[in-house]
Amino acid sequence: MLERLPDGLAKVDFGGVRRSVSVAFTPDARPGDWVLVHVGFALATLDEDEARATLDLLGEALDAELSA
Amino acid sequence: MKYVDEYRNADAAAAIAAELSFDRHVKLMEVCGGHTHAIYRYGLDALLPDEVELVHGPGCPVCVIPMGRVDDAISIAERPEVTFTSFGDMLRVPGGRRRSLLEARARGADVRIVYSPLDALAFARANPRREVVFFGVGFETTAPAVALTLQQARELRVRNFSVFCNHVLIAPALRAILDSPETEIDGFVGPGHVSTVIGTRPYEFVAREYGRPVVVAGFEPTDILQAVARLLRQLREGRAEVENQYGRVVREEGNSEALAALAEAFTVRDDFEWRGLGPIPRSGFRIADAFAEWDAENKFEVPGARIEDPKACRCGDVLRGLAKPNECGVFGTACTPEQPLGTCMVSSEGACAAYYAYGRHHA
Repeated sequence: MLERLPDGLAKVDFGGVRRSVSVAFTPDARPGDWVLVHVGFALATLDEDEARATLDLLGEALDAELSA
Repeated sequence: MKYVDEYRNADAAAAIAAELSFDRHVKLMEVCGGHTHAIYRYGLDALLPDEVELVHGPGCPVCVIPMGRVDDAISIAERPEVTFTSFGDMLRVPGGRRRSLLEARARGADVRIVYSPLDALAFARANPRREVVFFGVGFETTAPAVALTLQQARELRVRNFSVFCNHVLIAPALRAILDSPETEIDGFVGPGHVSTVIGTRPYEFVAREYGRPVVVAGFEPTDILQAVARLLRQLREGRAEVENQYGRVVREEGNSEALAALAEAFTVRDDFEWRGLGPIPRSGFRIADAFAEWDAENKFEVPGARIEDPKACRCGDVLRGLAKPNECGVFGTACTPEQPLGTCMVSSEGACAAYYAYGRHHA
């Protein structure tokens, strides 16, 4: 998310394409957050700790494979 | 893109896949059409051992809309005062006599594609002499957007806007599949994006009442493989629990703002007909009485006919996990994405479209 706009909207960068989306369902989202957008609405804010935890599990799978 | 590319690491995917095995044949259903597409796009089916079979579920909103409702939509769209708005993939869905909204447009109906229901509302405000109708299709992922649009229409007193509501609920469809005597599913890869709204609790009954594990999963290749690994581990250990692999966006309790919007704008119907699954009790939304003025079914007379699917099309069996798309006699011949017979070939989330696009043409 790039910036909050009036009327419950925010400007979001979709890997290069910029569009305003509704943040009515993610009132706590802030510029710099990653949001999941569906049909013009941000439905969730990405939890970076959880994202890292999932990636750590991937890393473990890789390590196990390499040492096997 | 950050938090996408990492989950596409081919070495990590291969490492997870190498660990997968089971001592008997197991059938796992990926409920969501988005998962079906990721599986074939990335060739995950080829990474799984022979004994682990993935079957495709009903989580494709376009696929489950019965033909009678498409005809109702066409009858609204053909009214001269109406501008009918819809997400793009509903336009090619054939109704009775293989007529689609796209053909209605070719014959002169004012049918337009929108990206968001809010765009349809904005069009209504800019064109007060047109009756603007939005084709509400989708699970609890999409329904909150329509709920909020209805709230805005009421707030702004936009009288020339209404919604033809066909929103459906995922949990009753899972129950219908579990209750079906012909379907034997060992576990479920739970839908990711719908769960951002409803959370993971609505799947508890699958574990508790039916003894089947559910792992809610993200949409990248390693997400899906991790979910399969976690399902196999539960089955091996004799557990049946709801787990959340997609914790980076799915919270156990869901999205309270979106759920509140759903509760205000919609009422659960006594039953709703699904393609392939038939009528399922309490499985669809209608527009709540407080928003009756914005309900297209109140505003316009619709035929409301029940139309059987074409006999050659096995969409219904595909949606219940009973047949693979390439086992259907018309797959890739009489039924293609350009000239679809059934919804599963139309939608970007349909299993037949996935098999066709990614080259799984032979059983």
